[in-house]
Amino acid sequence: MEREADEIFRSIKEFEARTGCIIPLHDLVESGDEVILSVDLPGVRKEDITLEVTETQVTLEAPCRTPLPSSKLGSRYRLRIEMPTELDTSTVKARLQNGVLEVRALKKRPRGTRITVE
Amino acid sequence: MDMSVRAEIYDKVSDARGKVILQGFPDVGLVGSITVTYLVDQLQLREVGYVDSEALPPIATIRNSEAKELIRIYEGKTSIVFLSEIPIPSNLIRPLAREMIGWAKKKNIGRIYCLTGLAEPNRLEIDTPKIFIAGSNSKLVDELVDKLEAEALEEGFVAGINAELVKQGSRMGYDVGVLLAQSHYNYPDPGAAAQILLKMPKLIEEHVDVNPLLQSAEMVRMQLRDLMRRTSDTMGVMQKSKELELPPVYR
Repeated sequence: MEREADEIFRSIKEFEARTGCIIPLHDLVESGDEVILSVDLPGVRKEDITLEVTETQVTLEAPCRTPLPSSKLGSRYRLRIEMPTELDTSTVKARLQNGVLEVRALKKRPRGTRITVE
Repeated sequence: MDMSVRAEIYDKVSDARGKVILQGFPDVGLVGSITVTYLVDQLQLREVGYVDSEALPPIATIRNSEAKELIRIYEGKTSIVFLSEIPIPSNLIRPLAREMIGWAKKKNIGRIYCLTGLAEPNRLEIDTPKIFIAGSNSKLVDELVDKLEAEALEEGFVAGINAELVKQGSRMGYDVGVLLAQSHYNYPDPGAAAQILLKMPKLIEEHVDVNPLLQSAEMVRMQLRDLMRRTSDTMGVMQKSKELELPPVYR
């Protein structure tokens, strides 16, 4: 368990070192019909966020305006995350509050035909 | 539980009569960590000891080229502060809680206060997080609720080192209070820590200016990202999400 966590941690740090981008802390929750993604983005202005949502994936990129404590860290946030279920992209809403981005979208309703049971 | 795991405290504290312990190990929103680290810095507390255990990883923190212990103890005029650079390993929680209470009694320390976060799913909507109090006995909780103008945590779960300290305090007849500030679960929350720091004049008779913390909040959140990630993993192991649940109705 600890080894797995350490492995994930190492791959995050390697990605960050390779790309100069920071993978922000984030949390993905399914709540009823909705999927809620929150992302911790300290030092980001909402007008600087590039957010793209497809049925299966959310990607975001944003520069961080806070002077960073170490040159080992990048200066941009970048996150690409697969969704646990398909999204209805016409329902996506996003807001940035106190440096936390919240993206909400309804799950795509499965297409089907209502069957009357005889 | 691995009974062979021990925690040992090495210190230069002779007698701390009249002082209290402030414990702020990495936990929900890193509220405790941010609070005690800021206190150590602002009050210029003196490093007086450390905790060692075979359960700790072979890691040394380097500060200004100097090796530091992972779990350190600092002393001020009215308090003894315990802080940790890493989340407390789950197999160290029980032995450490026992050792801390035994040590506190030996040094004539009156009480232990655990400073931590209370995961609040609607944290984004809250400008001023509330402080809730739990404790090893109801008399202590009532006293803290009055003194700090806080609310009692009437029902809920506490997990991790705070749970062990409060349970063992209750069994051993020792006062352990838990101050929980509403906070983000998975993100460092300096705003929640600031609310606990504002209680310090009443808690330890020390005033702390929280403005520098709030002004540097973005930087604090950036710097603590890695510790938060590690802490989130550990919180999963110790069923920390239990704190989001209500206990069953039977008593």
